[in-house]
Amino acid sequence: MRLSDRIFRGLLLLYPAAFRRRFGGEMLEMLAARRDAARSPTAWLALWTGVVYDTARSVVRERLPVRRNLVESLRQDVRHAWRVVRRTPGFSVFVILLMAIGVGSTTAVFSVVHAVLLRPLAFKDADRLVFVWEQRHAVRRNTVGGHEFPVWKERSRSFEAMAAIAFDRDFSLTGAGDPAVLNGVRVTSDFFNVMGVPPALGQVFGPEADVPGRGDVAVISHRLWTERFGADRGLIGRTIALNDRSHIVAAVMPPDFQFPANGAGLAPDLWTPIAEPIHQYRGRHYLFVVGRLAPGVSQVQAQTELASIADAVAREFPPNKDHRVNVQPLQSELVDDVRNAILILFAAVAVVLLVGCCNVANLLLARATARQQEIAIRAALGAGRLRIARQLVAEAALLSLGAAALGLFLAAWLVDIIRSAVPGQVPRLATVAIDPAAVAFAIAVAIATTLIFGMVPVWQLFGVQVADRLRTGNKGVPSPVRHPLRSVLIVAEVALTVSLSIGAALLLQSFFKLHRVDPGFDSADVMTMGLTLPAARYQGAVHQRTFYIDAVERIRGVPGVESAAATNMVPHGGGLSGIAIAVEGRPSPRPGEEATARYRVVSTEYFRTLNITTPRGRTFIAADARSAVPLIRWFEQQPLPPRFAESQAPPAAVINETMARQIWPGEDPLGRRFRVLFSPPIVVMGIVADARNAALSDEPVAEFYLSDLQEPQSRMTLLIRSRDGDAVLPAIRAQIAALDPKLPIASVRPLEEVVATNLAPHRFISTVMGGFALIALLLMVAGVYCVISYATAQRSQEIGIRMALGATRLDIGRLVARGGIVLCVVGAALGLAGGYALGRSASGLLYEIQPADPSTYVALVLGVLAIAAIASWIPARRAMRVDPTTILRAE
Amino acid sequence: MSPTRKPALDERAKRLLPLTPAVLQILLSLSSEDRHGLGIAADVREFTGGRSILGPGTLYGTIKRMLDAELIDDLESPAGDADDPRRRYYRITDLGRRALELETDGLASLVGTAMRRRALKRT
Repeated sequence: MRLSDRIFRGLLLLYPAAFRRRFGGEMLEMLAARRDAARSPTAWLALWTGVVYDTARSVVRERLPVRRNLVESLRQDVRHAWRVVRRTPGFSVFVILLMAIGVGSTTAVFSVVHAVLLRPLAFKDADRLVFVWEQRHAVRRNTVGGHEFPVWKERSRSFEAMAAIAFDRDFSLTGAGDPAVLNGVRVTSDFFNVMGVPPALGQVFGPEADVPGRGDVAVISHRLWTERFGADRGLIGRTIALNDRSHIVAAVMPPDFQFPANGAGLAPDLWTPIAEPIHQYRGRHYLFVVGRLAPGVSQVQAQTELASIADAVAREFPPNKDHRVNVQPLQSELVDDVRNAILILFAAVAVVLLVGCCNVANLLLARATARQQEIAIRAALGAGRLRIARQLVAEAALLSLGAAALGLFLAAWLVDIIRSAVPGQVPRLATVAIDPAAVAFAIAVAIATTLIFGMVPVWQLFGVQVADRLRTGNKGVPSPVRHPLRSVLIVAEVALTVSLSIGAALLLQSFFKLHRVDPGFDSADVMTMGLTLPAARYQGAVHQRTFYIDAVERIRGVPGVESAAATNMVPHGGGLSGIAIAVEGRPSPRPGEEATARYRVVSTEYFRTLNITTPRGRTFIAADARSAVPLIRWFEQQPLPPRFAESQAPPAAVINETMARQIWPGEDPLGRRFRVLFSPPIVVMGIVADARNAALSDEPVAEFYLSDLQEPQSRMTLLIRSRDGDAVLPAIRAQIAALDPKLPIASVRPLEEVVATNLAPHRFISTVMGGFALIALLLMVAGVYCVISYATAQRSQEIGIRMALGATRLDIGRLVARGGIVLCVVGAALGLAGGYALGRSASGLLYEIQPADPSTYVALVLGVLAIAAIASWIPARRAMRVDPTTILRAE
Repeated sequence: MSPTRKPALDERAKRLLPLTPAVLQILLSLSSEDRHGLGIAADVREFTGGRSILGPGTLYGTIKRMLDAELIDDLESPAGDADDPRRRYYRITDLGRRALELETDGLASLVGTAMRRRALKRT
């Protein structure tokens, strides 16, 4: 639907429902016809002003049909207001523009708040859905172990259903067009009961699919169904090849069912059963658990019950000591990471709106003052104060309706920018739209600002003494101007601007600091390329290893490629892999207190490709290849790999400097040995420099690297260093196709882009805050300048007398500027407090800068004051140049 | 039209005078043929030379009140109009025609007076 249609529909909501039902369709048709006829900007402007006027008029009439007199006088008010607005088009357009900026940007951010934070999830009784995490000491959200979930599910009575989700597998689809990598999740069969969403087509899989080895069935997304299979209804019951195994397509989910998104924020393409002996995977924390609370059971009750079950698990399985449970509502979990950022943006945009409103109030106030005589005449002719007030409010209302209309266009434009500027990290962002809620919000904001700021001049007018005003005639205000209200508005504007600028400056500085952080690896000129070997064709670790050795070797031979390597987790590509380690020769730690480290699997050339230095020892070499692979056994019952007993290279690890410091403080780690879960002892062969592999803002953590010659992987990302960029890609693709023509390539991205994507939310929020602060600053300057000029103009008589009595030009300049500067100083002082509050609430987004960073505060206050001083000095200078005789003669 | 009903119709029509510009324009437009809302708006725009453009709110608000006052009737879409089934056609009633006559008579006499007294430049 076109934007103007949406606005028309929004406006229709103002009419009574019966009227809307009866005439709405025809009215929309009529508006659409006129819109299509309006081709020039003037015609367009005329159309929209006409629409606003017509709507305001007829809505009043339709809504208040009973009291004819009131309706008639209201219509007069509107008509009168319309005349006033048209008589001063420049003023009206300026006010509408000012307010439209505020209303538009607030509405845009509101629609984000609404879509992401407020709107209920599209699941049945979404308020009963929860995430269940394992909680261990400070880590409140741990993935759930294979030995925990089945026990929780079996023993708890608080849940109507509970299901596990695993993101641990890629799915390549073959035999339906080009090979493709799909974003698939594995779930237990209760998943669909928990979510409470029936499929659009077919039947979802039931408990029979949970039996190990019976998982060859898939539920696919609506998008996959339409894009890959042409929305063929006959697909249900047919088989598709996933990872070279045939899976029966059981069902197609409805288009809006996109849960659960993966770490990169992508909606799943398909759901398949986990279908493995989950309970045997003791200590393997790989499950995300969702549950549907039984009717009437609260989150706290469920938490209490699961806590006692967790205690029982810990008694039966001592390593689980201190593993607790954390039950959280699904909705808040989905948006937890972004809630703070969005609310800060909302606060910032509200500040912009308020500053804009202060300006508008000031303008209306100034005009009302100039019109005091007109008002006095009306009052003398018998107009009641209420009636006069109503007229003033009607004027403001017309202006704000115009602002709402224009603001909606601005909002729609901003929403498009927001949607495209923020990458996948924000859930449900793609659904942001100017919907009826946003239209209602824009109109509500416009009405609220009208009532509040339109009333400001009214309040002032109530103090007008009719006789006084008629006597002083056209000279406006008799005595030196003392406008407490205007002063308050200036103070408020400066305070709001200073607080917003402080918040923005803190965020911008932290973004720049983050941008300059040395990640410890060199991402320039490196391409990444994701590959997943289908299990059916690459059975066993040895096959997988052979493929990647060959692939890296062939790519290294491509002209233009300087070096190539492979890793199971590309730096900054998401995915964490904390794992418990046990150091040889030390007493086994108490359960729950094991040392942990992150790990990644890399090929021999990894460190050279990413320019990571090796201060001590060596990195991996071809001679590290073992015949018994893999190293890590995930659970006790897992059999040893074949040829384990043969004599061969020892298990080898390369550790980073942080791990060396933390695990072997004051000792030489080289040659020391440690175990990972149920692995044989692994020897530390070398120490490499720290790298920030997860995020630039995260300090390096203890991390070790295993060789893919010893711990082969089915899913690896190739890292290719070449100065030729994309030019080498066709040759590389050809090399991979030569090895395996059916293998899909998931994603090809420069490593620099992967790192930048991680920074994108920081970049976005600091840019937007900076933009808002700039707008607020401009509005503030305009406000201060207007008020001081106006006050100076009104004091021209006083200035003339002072100069006639011997005041120097400088005295006059000081007199005029002083008033403005004092107000700005007061405002800046208040703004410091506001800035601190904003900084505190944003502290989670700050990197290496304190919310109370003194230099930021000093710099900003001085900066804002300097700008305000200039804005006051310009009118002061004008006052200094005044020739006293001219003024006094004019009196 | 029976002679007994005519005075009653006149009485009712007089009570509705004076007509607002919008009502007058709509009656005038429907006096020549049945039209739908868009048609009325286009017709009014044409015979006022573009000086009067009825906004949708005003147009349909007025139509609603005219239906209530029985100045016009609404018809289901005539079978011939395949354009859009949503469109409703309106037809002027006897009461509407009478009110239009009375109002235009009044206006005509007003214009006549104005011309006689040379209040209007063009004689």
